[in-house]
Amino acid sequence: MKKQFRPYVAFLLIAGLTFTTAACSDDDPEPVEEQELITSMKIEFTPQGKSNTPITATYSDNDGDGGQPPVVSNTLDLDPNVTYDVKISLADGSKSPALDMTPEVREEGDDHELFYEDVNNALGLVIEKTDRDSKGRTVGLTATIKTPALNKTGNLRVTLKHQPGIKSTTPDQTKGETDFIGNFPVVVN
Amino acid sequence: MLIPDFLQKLVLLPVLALFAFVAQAQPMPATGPDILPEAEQNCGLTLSGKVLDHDNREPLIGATVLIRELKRAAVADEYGNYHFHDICQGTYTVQVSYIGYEQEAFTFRITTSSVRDLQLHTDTRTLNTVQVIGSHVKSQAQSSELLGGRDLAEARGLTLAESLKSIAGVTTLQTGPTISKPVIHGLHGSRILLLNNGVRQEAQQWGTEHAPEIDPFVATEMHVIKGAAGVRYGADAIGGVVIVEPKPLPDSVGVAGSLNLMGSTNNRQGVISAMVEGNVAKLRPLSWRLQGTLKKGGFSKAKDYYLNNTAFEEQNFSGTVGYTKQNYGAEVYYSLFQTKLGILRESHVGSSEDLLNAINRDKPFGADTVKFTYDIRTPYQDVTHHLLKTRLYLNSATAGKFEFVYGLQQNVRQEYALHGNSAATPAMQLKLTTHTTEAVWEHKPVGNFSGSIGAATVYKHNTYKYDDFLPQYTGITAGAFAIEKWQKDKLQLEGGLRYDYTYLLVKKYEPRTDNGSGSALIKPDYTFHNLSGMVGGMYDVGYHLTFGLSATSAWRAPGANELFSEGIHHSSVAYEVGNPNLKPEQAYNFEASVDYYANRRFNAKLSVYNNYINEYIYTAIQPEPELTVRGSFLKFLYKQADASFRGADLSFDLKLVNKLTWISKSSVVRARNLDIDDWLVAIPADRTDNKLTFEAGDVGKQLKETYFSLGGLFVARQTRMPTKADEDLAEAPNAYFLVHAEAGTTLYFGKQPLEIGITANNLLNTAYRDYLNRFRYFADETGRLIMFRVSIPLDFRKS
Repeated sequence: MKKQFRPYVAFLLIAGLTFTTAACSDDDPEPVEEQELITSMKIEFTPQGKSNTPITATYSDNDGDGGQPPVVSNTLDLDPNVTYDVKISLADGSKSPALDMTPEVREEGDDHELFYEDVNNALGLVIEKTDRDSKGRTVGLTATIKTPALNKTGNLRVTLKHQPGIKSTTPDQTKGETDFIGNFPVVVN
Repeated sequence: MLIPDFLQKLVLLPVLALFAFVAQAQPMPATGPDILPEAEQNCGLTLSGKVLDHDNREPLIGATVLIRELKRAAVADEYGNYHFHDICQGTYTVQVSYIGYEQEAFTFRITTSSVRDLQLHTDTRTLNTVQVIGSHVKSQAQSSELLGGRDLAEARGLTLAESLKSIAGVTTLQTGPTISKPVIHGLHGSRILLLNNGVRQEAQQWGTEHAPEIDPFVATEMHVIKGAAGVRYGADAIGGVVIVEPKPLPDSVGVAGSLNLMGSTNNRQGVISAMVEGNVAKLRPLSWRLQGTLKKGGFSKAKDYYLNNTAFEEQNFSGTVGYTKQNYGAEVYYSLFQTKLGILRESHVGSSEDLLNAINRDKPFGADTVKFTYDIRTPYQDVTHHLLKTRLYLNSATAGKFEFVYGLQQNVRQEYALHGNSAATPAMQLKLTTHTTEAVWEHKPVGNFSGSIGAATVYKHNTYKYDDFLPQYTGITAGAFAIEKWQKDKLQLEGGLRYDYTYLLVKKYEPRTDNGSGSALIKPDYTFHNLSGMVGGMYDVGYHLTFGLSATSAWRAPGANELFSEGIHHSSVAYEVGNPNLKPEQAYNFEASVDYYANRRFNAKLSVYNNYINEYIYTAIQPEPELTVRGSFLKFLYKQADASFRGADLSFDLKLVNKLTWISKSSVVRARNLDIDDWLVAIPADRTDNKLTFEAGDVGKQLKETYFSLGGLFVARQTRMPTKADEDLAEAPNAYFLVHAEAGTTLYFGKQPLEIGITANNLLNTAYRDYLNRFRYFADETGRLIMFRVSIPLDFRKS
């Protein structure tokens, strides 16, 4: 027993081991692939009963959070006293080519809802959501919007909320997490 | 090539220290402890004396005297005399115990045969020999407190941080009922060092919602050092150190163990913790221990409603094998900590608009319809922490004591968010692997000097997956220290110095560009190095009174999160931006203390401190919010300012009448941003906790050590909030007063004891919110909680 156990040999072994581990190579990280990212919202206005080319605008932030702030492509120029069919499409612009996220939101309609706000009621829009989820509650990927008879200028805000398990029959924008807020300047004339 | 040459040398420090030691120790023949060559080492010394009552000088017949280092015991004879023969020169801790007296430990340097009288003080708090832990001779001038015995038993089943709350000056930073971090003198996170079984805990401590991954059942005592303690414990120990110590491995043959069972109302928590330990009869130096804990709790309940998704579960395991000889020994320890913690559903909000919606509700949305369950749904955290520790030591009569500790830790943190396919993949995963080494040589006392020198290294490597909020990094720290103590008569002076060097290599992708082209990988690196120092003095006036003065310092290099975090920190609903130009923090802590101890009627401890932190790192709110497609987020930037943390801790116990004691603990802290002359945010409010304990003692033949206590905790409203910058989102909650009660007894079935205890928190089911709970924006604190516990010591050594 006496001379077999030489603790300092063990000390050295362990110290040596630590040193070797400490000096081992360090791989570079992989860039993060973000899941379920929505970077842009496109809104399309088609006047009911006409086959005009739709009026569109896109609100996007393709470089993600930080860096450049989100931008809107153009002002929506709408005619007065017209009822428009409105369609929202969502995309992930961080991928190339951009990934259409609209079907996913539609499938998960039970957990999502879009809310339209005529900011400060400056425009006097009449908004009605037209699509329903599996339980008959509104979703808001499509809607009708009726413009007023008079010329107006204002902003339309479209908010996509994630409300898993807490979505109710009475729409409530204060609930849940915000997935996307699109801000669209609007001119009615 | 990643590590500069200089650093490689630093990493080798412990190894060099070892060589130095081996060279020193060379003349020592590698023999067993039983055959000590007396001629060369003067091992024929005798230590003897009397064991006396401090007050009346009566001999204490039958008192047990134990030399801890040698594991040799003697019993005082009919005149109170004890003696040990054939002792080598060295420093020994002599532990004396006698029923009805406080167990005390005395440290002696033995260079010639000596006579030392040992005086014991009547156990003033209780008449239980098992209750009181601690030696009356403080080993250092800086304030430190021990949590053990009954106080620890009452906290069984709580998290590590919650258990420490019974110490004056220690509070918690909470994220709901399941997550809490210790706060010492207003500082927390990376500024508090946790020593788990001798190894510094390396996890993602920077996060306010990242609780320490330590099973409190491992500890038989917890030791808290308040204030900067950088010299002995290394960089980062700016706010204090929490030391979690298991009891030593058994040294008597046979198998023993214990079983702890707990249950509670409110979240209907169940805990089972078991321990078995033994000593191998055929190979006496070999001992072992296995320990495990299972915990599960459901939704907590505030006064009026259940807190949605606050269930949790925890599984812990640890095993130790030790080979203990008088002159050398080794120990291997492994522990696994695994937890899954539900996070209040309401607290997981998107933008600041969502946050304001939540704050403006007086209770969480749909709170009244939430039903109790043990299910953990998203959002939740899943954390696993492995620790493998090896410790080797050598005791040499000529050179002193040498100890080497190596620790390997792996921390895997997965945070699951509410979103889509979150059941399958976490929103963020962080994996931190750490190697720590420490070599300490406690030299043989020279004259009135005793002390130690040591070296330590830390290597850590962090990787991420799914989210790059925290970058990948590799950090290396190496340091060396020396501490010397000089003691003569009633005066003790101490001083120490430490040098640390830190290298940090960060790998991070630049933010994506608008045109969708790939982002560039950047690899910034940093080196920091600094000194920490310590001077202290203690004067034992006699008559149970000690004065202490200390000046200590510590520094902390900015963490990778402070330098490079970028993105939305979900737990704080903030867009955080790191600051690559941060400098290290340097703390200077000054403390004065008075200790009136071991008196029959009154014991008190008062400490006053001023912790001045140069370049204190904090997050400052920016005037412009960060706009994202999910709305606006409050934007926080890491900044630095000089700060001061001043305060006082007072604790005392006063025997009012026979068996009835008033126990009081209070603390006050004031923290200022000195650069802009403003208060600092998130500083604990003033508090005082007072209770009356009635010691019923032995009731009949079967109930022993019975006690009851009733008390109240008052926490004031935090009125000192920043007004010039860094303002909080909501006002601080109102002051609150909570009633608590405890009771305990030991039931005997023949020789088999059964310890039973009940602890009731928030007895009056008060609805309140605490300023240092992040959930205060969303929901009330937990309501009435009654915990029942049974502890069964098991001894299979049937004789």
